[in-house]
Amino acid sequence: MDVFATNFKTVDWIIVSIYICIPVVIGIIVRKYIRQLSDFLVAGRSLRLFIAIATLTGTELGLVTVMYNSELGFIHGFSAFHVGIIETACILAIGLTGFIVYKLRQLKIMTIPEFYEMRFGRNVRIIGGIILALGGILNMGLFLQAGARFMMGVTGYINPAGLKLFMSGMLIMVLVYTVLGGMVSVVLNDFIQFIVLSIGMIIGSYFAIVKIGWGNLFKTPNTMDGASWFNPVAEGSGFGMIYVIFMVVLTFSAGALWQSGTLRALSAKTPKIAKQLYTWSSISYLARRVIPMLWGICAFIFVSQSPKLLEAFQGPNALNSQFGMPIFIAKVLPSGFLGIMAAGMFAAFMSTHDSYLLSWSSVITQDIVAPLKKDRLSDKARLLITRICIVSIGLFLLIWGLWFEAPVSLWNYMAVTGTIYLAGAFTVVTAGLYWKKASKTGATIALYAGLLAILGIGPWTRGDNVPFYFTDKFIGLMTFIIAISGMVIGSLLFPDKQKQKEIEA
Amino acid sequence: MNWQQLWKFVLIFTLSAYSVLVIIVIFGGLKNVVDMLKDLKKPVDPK
Repeated sequence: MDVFATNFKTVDWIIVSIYICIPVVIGIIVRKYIRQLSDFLVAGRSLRLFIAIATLTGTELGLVTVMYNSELGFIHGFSAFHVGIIETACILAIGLTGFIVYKLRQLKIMTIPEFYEMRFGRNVRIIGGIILALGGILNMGLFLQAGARFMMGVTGYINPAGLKLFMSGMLIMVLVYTVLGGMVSVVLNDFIQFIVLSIGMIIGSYFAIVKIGWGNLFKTPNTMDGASWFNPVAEGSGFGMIYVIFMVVLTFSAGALWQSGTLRALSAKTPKIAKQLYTWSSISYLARRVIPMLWGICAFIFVSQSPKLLEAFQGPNALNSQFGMPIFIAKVLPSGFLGIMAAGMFAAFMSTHDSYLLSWSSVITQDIVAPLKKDRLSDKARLLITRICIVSIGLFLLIWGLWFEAPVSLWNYMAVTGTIYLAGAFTVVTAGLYWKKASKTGATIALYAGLLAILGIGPWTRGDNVPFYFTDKFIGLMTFIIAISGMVIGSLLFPDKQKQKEIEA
Repeated sequence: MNWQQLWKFVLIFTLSAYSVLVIIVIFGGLKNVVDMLKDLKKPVDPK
C-alpha cells in the first residue's frame, strides 16, 4: 500500500477551496459592526451562552489540537485518554465554582495583564504582557508545520514549495478577515467551523471505528506492550506520575487563563454566562481530546496491520508520527466526505489562528504599548496597532514555522511553551484574586519564573536516555512550583506598603 | 473496572454527549447570533 495513497479527489479540492473563502466574506460583511475597541476585541461583550460555547470550542478545537491529540493516541494508545479526563475535570471544576473566570468577568477587563495592573501596578502589567505575548506566539509557532503535515497526509500532495504556498495563502486569508472584522468576525467563523467540524468528527469517528472494528479497537497492537497501551502510569507508557501531575496543573491553569479561551469568558454577556460556558464546554474539551486520540489509535492499529506502512514509520528515516492520523483518514473516508472533513480541518486551522492572532496582538497593544505610552492612545490608534501586530505575528509564524523542528512531540511543545505564560499568570491571578498578602514583588518573581519553561524545548530534552530532571515534563512542573514559591516568598518578604497598611488597619 | 473498560466507557460517553451538545448548540447558537448582531447595532454608549 502506497503511504500517501488517498481518496482525496478533484471534488474534494473544490469543496476545500470554496469553504475556506467563506471566512473572508464574513470578515468583509461584519466590518460595519466594528465601531469601538471593545467591539473588535470582545465583540462588545455581547456573547450569549450557546454562541459562546461554539466559539470557545471553535478556538480550542483547531487543526493543531486534532494533530497533537491524534499524535498522542498514535504514540501512546488509550493511555493518552488520561489527558482528556484530567482536562475535562478541571474545566468542569472551573465552571461549577466560577474559579477565576467569574471574578475576572465581573471586573470587565479585556486581557489578563489588565488585571495585573489593577492589582499590582503598571510595571507588572507590562512584564506580564511581554511574557504572555512571548509564550503565546512561540506556542503557535508550529501550527503551520502541523497544518502542512495534515495537508500532505490527507491530499497526498507532497510538493514542498506548493505546500508552503498553500499554507501561506491560508494564513494571509486569516490575516485579512481578522484585521477587518475582529472578534465579531472570529465568533461567526467559529460558529460555522463548530458545526462543520463537530459533525465531521462524529461521522469520521464512525468510519474509523467501522474500519478497525469495535472488538479490535480494544486489543493491544502486536508491536506494543499491553499495560502501557492502556495505563498512563505504567512503565513504558511515556507518561508516568510526574507527567500526570504536570497535566493537572497545566490544564487547570490553561482552562482558567489561556488568553484565547478566557477572552470568550470575558466576552460573555454576564459573569454567570461565563461560568455556565465552562460547565457546558467541559464536554467539548473532552471531545477535542478523546475523538482525535481515537483517530490516532485507529491509525496506529491500521498502520501496524500493513508491513509497508509500518516500515514507513520506523527506522532512521521514519515519517513524523503526526502523519499517522491524516494518512489513515485519507484511506478510510470516502471522497466528498473527505473534502468536507478537510475543509472543516482547514477552517479549524484558520479559526485557531484568528483567535490567537487577536489574543496576542491585543495583549501587545493593550498591555505593552498602551501602558508604555501612559494610556494616551486613542481607540483608533489602538485598533491600528492591533492590526499591525496581527500582520507582524503572521509574518513571524511563516518564518518560525518553516525552520524550527521541536525536539519533543507537538503536544509537549505546546505544553511547555504554554507554561512560559501560565506558570506566572496562574500564580499571579490566583494570588491576586484570593490572597490579600500577594505583593508586587511576589508577582514579578512569579512572572519571571515562567521563563524557566523555555528550558523544556532545548536540545538536551532530545534522545532516549535523558535524565528525568532534563525532561520537558519535569521542567514544566518545576516551573509551576518555582513560580508559586516565588510568589509566596516574595510577597511575605517584600509586602506592598499600601496593602500592608490596609491589612493592619 | 479495569483500564480497558474505563476507556471504553469514556469513548462511548464522549461520542454520545458531544453529539447531543452539538445539536443543542447549533439551534441555540443561531438565535444567539441574531441577538448579538442586534446588540452591536445599538448606539455606542459614550461612557
